[in-house]
Amino acid sequence: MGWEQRGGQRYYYSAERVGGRVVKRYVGAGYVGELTAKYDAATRAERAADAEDDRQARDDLDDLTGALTPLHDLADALTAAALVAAGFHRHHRGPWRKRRA
Amino acid sequence: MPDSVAKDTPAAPKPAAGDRTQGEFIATVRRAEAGDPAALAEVKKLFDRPGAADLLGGNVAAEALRLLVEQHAGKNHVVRAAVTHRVEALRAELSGASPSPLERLLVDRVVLTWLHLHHLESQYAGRESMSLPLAAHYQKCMSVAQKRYLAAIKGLADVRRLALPVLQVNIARKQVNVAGTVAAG
Repeated sequence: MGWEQRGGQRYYYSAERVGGRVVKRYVGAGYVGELTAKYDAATRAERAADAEDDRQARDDLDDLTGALTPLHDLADALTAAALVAAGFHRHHRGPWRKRRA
Repeated sequence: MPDSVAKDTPAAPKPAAGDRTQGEFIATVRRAEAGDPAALAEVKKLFDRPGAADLLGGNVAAEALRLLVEQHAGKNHVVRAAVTHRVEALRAELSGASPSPLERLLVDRVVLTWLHLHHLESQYAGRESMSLPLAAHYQKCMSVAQKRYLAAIKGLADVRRLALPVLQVNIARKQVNVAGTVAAG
């Protein structure tokens, strides 16, 4: 996709995906080519900005989930520690039971 | 960070954790669970220290709450105040009159996971549009948050159910089970 030089003239081509293949389409030279090139560039920039926003949103979600992970692990470990210390046990992460004396 | 969080959770987890990292502590607990007597003795020794759970969990809970409130409220001070108030009310409601340090940590976890889940749900519902991959990511995060929230509630319930003696009272041939401390005599 883009400008191609043929002799002394520049011609603008766009590319689109048809049936899984990229197909080059002739758009035009001069004003039409310039206008389409600007439109394509704006569309590409908009898509890139959207992709960046998505990436940022996903990172924020992961950061938040990650921030709670240490607390979650520690609370589990402390609960297990307290119950084991009090004489409880569990088999294969099943329910906690009091160990028989 | 809300004042009450800072007040309830000491800043540095050094005294109880000593020179051990959180990962090492978790590994010791896993070994104790598996029946390692040395690890069990170490765990029991740790719990002899007053406020061990507070000291170990204080920082992570406060840090997670700060981040959650910051993300949820942004620069809106009214929303920040409202969320902080709601969090404190929920903590007070769940903590009861005299929670143990471990119960306080577990209550913190319930409150934080509740806030996390509701933050995600309100964000997801509030967006006008989003890409399919981002929507899928939201769904994944909400599933994790919901799973953690339920696990947090179950953890607190387990500790309260197992740690307190159950008093059975028979009133007019109806059995009533009361979980609570039994008064001496």
